[in-house]
Amino acid sequence: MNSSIALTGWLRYASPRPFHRLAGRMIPGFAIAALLLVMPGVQIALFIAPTDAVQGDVYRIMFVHVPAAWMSMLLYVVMAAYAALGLILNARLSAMMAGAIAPTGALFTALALVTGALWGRPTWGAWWVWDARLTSELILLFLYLGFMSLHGAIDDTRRADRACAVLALAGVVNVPVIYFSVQWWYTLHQGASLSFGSGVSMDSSMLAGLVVMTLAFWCYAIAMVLVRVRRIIDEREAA
Amino acid sequence: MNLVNSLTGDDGDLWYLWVAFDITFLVLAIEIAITVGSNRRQRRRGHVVQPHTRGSTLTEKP
Repeated sequence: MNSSIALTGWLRYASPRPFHRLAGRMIPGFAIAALLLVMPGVQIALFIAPTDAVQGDVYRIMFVHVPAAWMSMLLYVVMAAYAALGLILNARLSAMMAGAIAPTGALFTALALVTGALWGRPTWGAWWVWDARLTSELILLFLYLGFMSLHGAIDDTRRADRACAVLALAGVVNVPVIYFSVQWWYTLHQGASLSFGSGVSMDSSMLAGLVVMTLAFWCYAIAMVLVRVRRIIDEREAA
Repeated sequence: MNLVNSLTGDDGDLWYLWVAFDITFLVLAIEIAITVGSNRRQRRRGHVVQPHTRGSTLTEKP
């Protein structure tokens, strides 16, 4: 009985206006958490983590490149999940959340590509190679840009939400391709330093820096998405 | 401290490291400025939802 009352209480936040208020209360917490995490993250990345025996100090690009790449994939999966909920249940907030996630996801994808190019030049001798990992990540950027362009191109927001949901769901197949590309094909890109099967193959301080920076980017992304979804709710509900 | 010392050394590869960090945090700062600025402009125009929940449905009306 109590659990059903609690569930009903939480369910009202699936409606845009109550969620607008909830998001407003959550944003400062996530923004402060992101700020508090990024400072020790940068300190570990630049000053505490040891110099790599092969790559020297340039490997420290990993501390922004890897979290950005992880966020680009995670945000796409979350965006596709919200888009699917909107499509199946016709839930209004789900489509708004999917629309709010897309710009931050596109930004992290672009950052992963740019920082990857800046890491590739001194280590591989090339800014870009048509490698399976790099190409599938570039396709992810095009999927995000396609999602945003399609939404902007259709005037009727409900039709735009449905069309974008189909695009997001079709594109989600690209995420496992990105993740497993280094195992499925022979690629120039190095394999995963962290994996569920083979464990960790790096110094503990490097791992700590990577985890802290990932958590910082995570909190940042949640704060940004909540700020953006409040504007989308304002636009649609106040109209 | 090795990293700080090597900044003044001959390791040209460090240029890539600083550009990567600078671009990352600059781009994130620009996103914050654009997103928060956009919200503020919308609030100034008065296009904001009312605090009451009546009329806000869970699903789209048919």
